Amino acid sequence: MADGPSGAKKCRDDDVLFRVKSKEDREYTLSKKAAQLSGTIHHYSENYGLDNDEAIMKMEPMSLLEVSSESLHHIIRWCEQHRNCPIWEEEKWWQNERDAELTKWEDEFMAEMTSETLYNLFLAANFLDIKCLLDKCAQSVADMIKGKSVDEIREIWMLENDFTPEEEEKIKNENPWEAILRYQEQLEKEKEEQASQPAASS
Amino acid sequence: MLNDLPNEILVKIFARLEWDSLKEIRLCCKKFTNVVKTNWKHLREPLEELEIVERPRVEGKQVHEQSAQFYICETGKYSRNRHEIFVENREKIQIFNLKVEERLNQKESFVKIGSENGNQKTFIYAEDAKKFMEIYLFLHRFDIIRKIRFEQLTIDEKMIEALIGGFMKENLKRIQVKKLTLDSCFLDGIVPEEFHQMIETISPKGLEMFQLYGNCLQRCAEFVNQSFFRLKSIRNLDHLSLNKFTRSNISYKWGNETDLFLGCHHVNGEGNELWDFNLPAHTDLLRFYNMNGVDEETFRREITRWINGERKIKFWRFRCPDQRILEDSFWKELVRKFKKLDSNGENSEEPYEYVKLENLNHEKLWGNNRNTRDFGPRFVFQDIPFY
Repeated sequence: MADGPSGAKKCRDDDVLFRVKSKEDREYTLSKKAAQLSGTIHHYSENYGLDNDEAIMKMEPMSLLEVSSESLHHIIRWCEQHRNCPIWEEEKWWQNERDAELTKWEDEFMAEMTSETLYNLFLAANFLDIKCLLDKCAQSVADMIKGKSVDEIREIWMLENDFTPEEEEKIKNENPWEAILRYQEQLEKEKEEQASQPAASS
Repeated sequence: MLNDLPNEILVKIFARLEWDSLKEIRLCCKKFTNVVKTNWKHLREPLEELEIVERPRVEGKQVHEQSAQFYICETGKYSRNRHEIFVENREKIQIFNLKVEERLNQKESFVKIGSENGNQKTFIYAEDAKKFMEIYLFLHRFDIIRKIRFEQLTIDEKMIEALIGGFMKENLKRIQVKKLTLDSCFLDGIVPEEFHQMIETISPKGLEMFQLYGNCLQRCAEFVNQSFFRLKSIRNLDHLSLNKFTRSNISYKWGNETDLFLGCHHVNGEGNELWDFNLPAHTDLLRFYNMNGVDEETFRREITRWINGERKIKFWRFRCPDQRILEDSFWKELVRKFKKLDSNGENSEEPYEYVKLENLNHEKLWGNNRNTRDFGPRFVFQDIPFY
């Protein structure tokens, strides 16, 4: 696997290393700081008493049964590169600041990904709950979608058209706002009905 | 492959798409249609403020003298039939420029983004109302839009159609608006039935304040009488405000316990008497007991009762022209009272710490800020709680 963009940060000799294992049973290490970017690893550490350096150094590798070796490799690269970054604001993701160098690195990192590796990386980032990577993946996928026709999007992302011709025609012709409004009205109606039920029964 | 992703991930992706792509992605497969439909609120952030205001009027319209100066100043700057989006938070402008300028300005020649020197505003101009709506819809998810303004409503019938037909009907219900302000020119452009329909269309969710600016024409009163007050009864709005309606226009019958008002008499540049009052339907507002609008006699009596300690006023706000304050003993006394409260506020044993008195002098009011249709300097007492 490629080492990735130039200037990539790696574990230092004096780093306390966290051990993880991919679904192919291959072991990897990452620095404690980098590991802290993952919400899943953070919870694991809390549950298994990995709250000090000594415990981490003696730990058994944490099994990540849903993460492939390839994705884990990329995940570790990402986390090492971002280990000194401020906490990622998930709600207002556009407010997060990145210096130009890091942004460049991120763009190069994402440029390496094929749609398939990006897909797997996305799932892995979701499983490991790494918010900054999740957002970057979302942005990259969105960028790949923008400006494309329906057929192009289907082709790139291997999507099966599961509409019947009639359904497809109907959706094409309907006003999207109206569909959304109709759906919201339906939800509100259901809510009202639910709310009125206990009163009626009592 | 992409449709195997969990819904929460798809929402993250879709939230980063502009409207055109969102429309396309919806057509890819059933799952995507469903995700867009069911997660709409996550794809669009609520709008903080929507304001539809009057911009420079065209020749042939009767305008007040001072207002006309304002219009002349502004017409050199803005062309007709343009719509603006203001961005008033500097930090967010950076995002704005990066995200929007790159994506829209390069492709769309009719979109121009600029900012005023020394002013924390950024503008977007688009000459096509429909396109403007699309840009707006794209932008407002970034939570950076403080105001959206539509100008020149009175001269462009097509734009009015776009607003009423396209924007209002389709979008207001979907967008959660906290504060909606409509200027009189908006009322000039539509018939009462359309106004009524629009009000019915507005999403009650999140709407906290509705301000309507009228003019001295009976026509504006029709809107109020036929539709506007329905908002209060139907939507239970906390803040309802009417501005620049003549008292004779309003035929709404206030109940004895109706929470209203504020207001004071002033005279415009042409010597016409105008009544400038607000009717915020807040439960703690100064209560007036007259039945048909507001008259100064009632106002004076209630204020005098307050000065004498015979009644309480929790919140209130009123405006009065300088000249009147200088000449009239009632106003002199009232201002003296407020000044006293203002200067003693913090250390006073009496609970007047919320008093805020602003004496806006002419330069301060008109110097750099011409985005007002007020007619001159005045004292402003705003939302002051009294106990």
